[in-house]
This record gives sequence, C-alpha cells and structure tokens, in this order.
Amino acid sequence: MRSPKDPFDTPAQILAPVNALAEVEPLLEAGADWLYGGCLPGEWTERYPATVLLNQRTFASAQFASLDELEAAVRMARRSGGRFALTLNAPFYMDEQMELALDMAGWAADVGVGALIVADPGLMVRVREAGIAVPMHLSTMGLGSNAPAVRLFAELGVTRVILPRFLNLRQVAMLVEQVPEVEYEAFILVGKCPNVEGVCTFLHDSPDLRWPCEWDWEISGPCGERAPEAVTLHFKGMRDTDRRDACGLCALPALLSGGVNIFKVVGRGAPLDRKVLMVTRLRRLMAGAREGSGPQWIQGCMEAYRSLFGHPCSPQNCYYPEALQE
Amino acid sequence: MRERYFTVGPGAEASGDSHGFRVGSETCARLLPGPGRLSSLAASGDPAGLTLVTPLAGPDEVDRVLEAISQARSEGWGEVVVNDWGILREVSARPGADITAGRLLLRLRRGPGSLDDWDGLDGASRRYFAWGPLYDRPFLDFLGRQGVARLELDPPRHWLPVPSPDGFRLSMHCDTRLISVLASCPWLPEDSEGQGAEPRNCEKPCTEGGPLAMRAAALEHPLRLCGRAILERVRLPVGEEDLPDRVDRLIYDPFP
Repeated sequence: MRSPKDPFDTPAQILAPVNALAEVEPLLEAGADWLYGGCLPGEWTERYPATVLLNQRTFASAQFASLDELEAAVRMARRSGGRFALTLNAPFYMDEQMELALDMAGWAADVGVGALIVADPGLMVRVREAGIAVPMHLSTMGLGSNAPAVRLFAELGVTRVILPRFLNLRQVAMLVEQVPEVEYEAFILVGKCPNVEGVCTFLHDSPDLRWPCEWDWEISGPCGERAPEAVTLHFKGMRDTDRRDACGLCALPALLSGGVNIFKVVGRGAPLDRKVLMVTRLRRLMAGAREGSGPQWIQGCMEAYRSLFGHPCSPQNCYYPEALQE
Repeated sequence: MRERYFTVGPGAEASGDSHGFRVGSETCARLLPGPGRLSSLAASGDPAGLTLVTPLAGPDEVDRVLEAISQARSEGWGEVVVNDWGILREVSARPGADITAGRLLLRLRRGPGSLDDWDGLDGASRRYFAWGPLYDRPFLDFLGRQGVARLELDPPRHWLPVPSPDGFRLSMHCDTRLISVLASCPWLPEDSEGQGAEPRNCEKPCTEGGPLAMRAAALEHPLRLCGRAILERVRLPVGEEDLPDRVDRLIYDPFP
C-alpha cells in the first residue's frame, strides 16, 4: 500500500483497453501507461456460454484470442515501459470455476502482469492465500464506493480502486481524502453505464451488442398513466444517447486536484484507430489539465469531444456533469 | 413453519399477521426511516421481529446508514440487511442484531437478456444463472467471517433446487426479483440541489403513486421501477414443500 501523498507528485497515467498483440505498441506510443484486457481460455469457452463471466466481456472481439497472444502482449508492454492489468473481474466464481481463475492469476504472476483487476472477494482471498504476488485492483464491479468499503478491500490486498461510475466529483474527493492509502482510477472516456454496474444483472449478450439498459424503454404509471416528467426525461435521455460516447474530460482538473491521477479509457473490442485517437487526445489534454479551469478549459474539452465522437457532448453521456456547473 | 416477513412502505403501519416486518431500502439512503420512525416502529410491537434493510451507500451516506443501524440495534431490532461492503465492514465490527447479506451483495444473475437457450445450457451454466454465488465457497466464507449468518435470495428466471450452503440460513423473496439499480435517481434533477442534496431533505417523490412500469418490446411483462431499483414482479414457482429447510424465511414485498 502506498503512503498518503500529494496527488500532484505522481504523474497522471492512462489505462487503455487492448485485445490484440498488434495494438500494444500503437497504444503505448499514443501515451498509454497501462493496458488492460483479458482472455477466455479454451477450457472456459468449451464449457460455458459467453454470459457466464470470466472477465465481464461477453463478445469475442473484446478478448485476446489466446493466452499465448496475451502473454506476448504482456511481455511487449513491459519491454516498452508499459504495464498490463489482467481482467479477472467477474462478480463471483463458482467453486468449479475458481481453480481456473486462480490458475490464470498464477499464470499472470509468472508472465509479468502488473495487476489483476478483480471483483470477487472470494477470488481476492484465494489469490492471497496462494501467495500470488500480483497487485490487485478493485474493479468497478467490486463497488469500492465508500471509505469503509475501500478499507475492507484493502484488507484483502487491493492496492487500487477503480471508482464506481455513479460517484460524483464531491464524493470522489471525499473518498480519496478518507482513504488516501490506495490509488484511485477513474473512467474518463467511453462506456458510461446508466446503472450501478457492480450490482446490475442485465445480461450483455445480444448479437447486436445493444444491451437491455439501451433498450427503448417505455415508462408509465402503475395503471398506464403518464410517468412523472423527470423520470420520462431520464429514460428518454438514455435512449437518445449512445452511452459509448461517454466523456469526463472537463473533470480532469477536479479529479487531479481531488487525488485521482489514473484515468481509464473504456472499449475492449473497439477498433484500434479509435482507441489510439482516444489515448492521444487524452494525453494531450492531460498535459494542461493541472492548470485547467474556467470556460477556456471547458471549451477545449468540448472541442476535443466533438473531434473524438463527431457530435457535441450532452449531459446524458457526461461522466461528471457537475464539472460544468463548477 | 417458515417465517413470513412483510415489507412496510414509508409511513405504513407494521401490523398484521406476520412474523416480522421490514423497513428501509436496498438501493437508496434517502429512503431509510428517520430516528422517529425507527423508534415508533420499535414501540409498536416486538422489535425483535423488525428488519432494517439498508442500501448501497456513497461516501457521504455511510454515516446516515450507520446511525440508523445503531439506533435499530439499540432498540432491539432483530435483523439488519446489508447491501454495501463498507456498511458490512462497519456493522460486523460491532455486536448487535443479526447480519444478513442482501441481494446486492450476493449479485445473483437475473437478467433480462437472452436466457432463452436454457435447454442448451449444461448443468454448470444452469447452476451459475440460478444460484451462482451460493457455489462460491471462498466468497461465502468471507461473508461468514464478516458475521453474516443469513443470505437473501430471489427466484431465478429458470428454477433449480435451492442449494443449502453450510453456515447460513436463507430468506427468499417471493414477490420480486431484483434486476438492477439506476446509477442516479431519475426523480431528482442533475444538479447540486438534486442528486447531491442532503438526503434528509429528500421529499421522496419516488414513493408516491406506486412503482412505474418499464416496458420494452423484448419483454413479455414490464419491469418495475421503484425509486432507483429495477424489479421484476414474480411468484415463487414452487411450493413451500419444495424449498429446503434452510430457507426458513419468506419475504413479501407487496406492491401498492
């Protein structure tokens, strides 16, 4: 566990999603410090359908094709000065699955993986009991959403918390101040979730990659009457917005000053050129983020958003809408 | 005979033919009963038959949840249902009412999504979707070390016999399946006076008029939106005689 320190004395870092060896060098050259991804071994895919989770991704394009390729990616990242975080972040593993997850964790230690991204307290216990010496980062699926929760997971060996998406800037700053002993990582681009992902049971298995949270929900009162307007607008906003085009760039200064200095780009399975574009733009903005404030900063972020996603940003796909109000 | 516990809405009386009553919320700290309500419920009958259901908590909500738990325990409430890891850590460190792991801690996989190919799944995958976390022994041992003695379940989309994990009693929700929780409250505006407002000042607009219906083309029946909770109305698909003895408590969450 690190000791409390000024967030400004540590360089801000970027995590980028990766699912193929060929993506490693372009993403590191674009400015990523960490890469994260996973793989479904054959013995898993032969046994279970995609919705039985090893690592929270249910479509093949989000995974490395083989452990050999993943190992090569880990080694290449290390040679290039980057680090790799392996996703083992299913909310639980049945006993018959646990040994495979534990084997993967041990394998990760052997090949030089920099961290395991985990969510199941049972797996955390087993990793520690097995003496597997790889740092554990708490997945957003693990819900380290308040100080005693973070302390609980730190007691299980977690050294970094990936902040749940539903926390606002004030809550994030409060959490970091209350438990400064761990690192914090925040989502910054792509993939906003309308629900509390750590407890959501919507299955992500549609062939068109359109999940139940993105369905065209019609909301009405218990007897068919109109729902309250605020609720209708809430769901309309979700329906009319592509949650994949999510962004928290405007909040970079607030997050940095609040003690968060690791930023995550979502999108395992996205095209490489899109990932590289995201990382490049983020790295460029981060260079000025510590001094960023006021309308000029916001304007720059909005322009960056438009260049990344091809349309203006909106409150529905804003990670931290309060950043605009501040 | 199995115990029957009924969920009591805000302001409603905890009375009737029941072994116990439940108040609180799995998903929102704003819906926790205040000190006066907790005391009046305890004074209205046997507090040992009362359950305080506690929610997920953000960093600024922990104290409020713990205050409610502390009061309930001091007034003799019989059970605290915990749905947040941080609350669990704090509650387990102090003696008091029985600790139950709520549905949000268990993270049963309930859908919707395509679970249509049930017939094509092998036994392991079926167990995963029906009662998966109950087969995660290291996880259950972890809960046990935190002082958890009871687990709350709800019916899976496709029924399988309920396993009986050693060391735990089981409660079964008979009316609802918990599907998801909205990241923000749709009743409140996205500004500092809304989502970020002091919970005690919330006028609880979500509790007026009953749960809303969430309809989608892919679903035969609507889901229900109760505050931030997305629920599915269900009926226990088997008779009580088909439940193991370890399921010794049935929970009813009657919608208005």
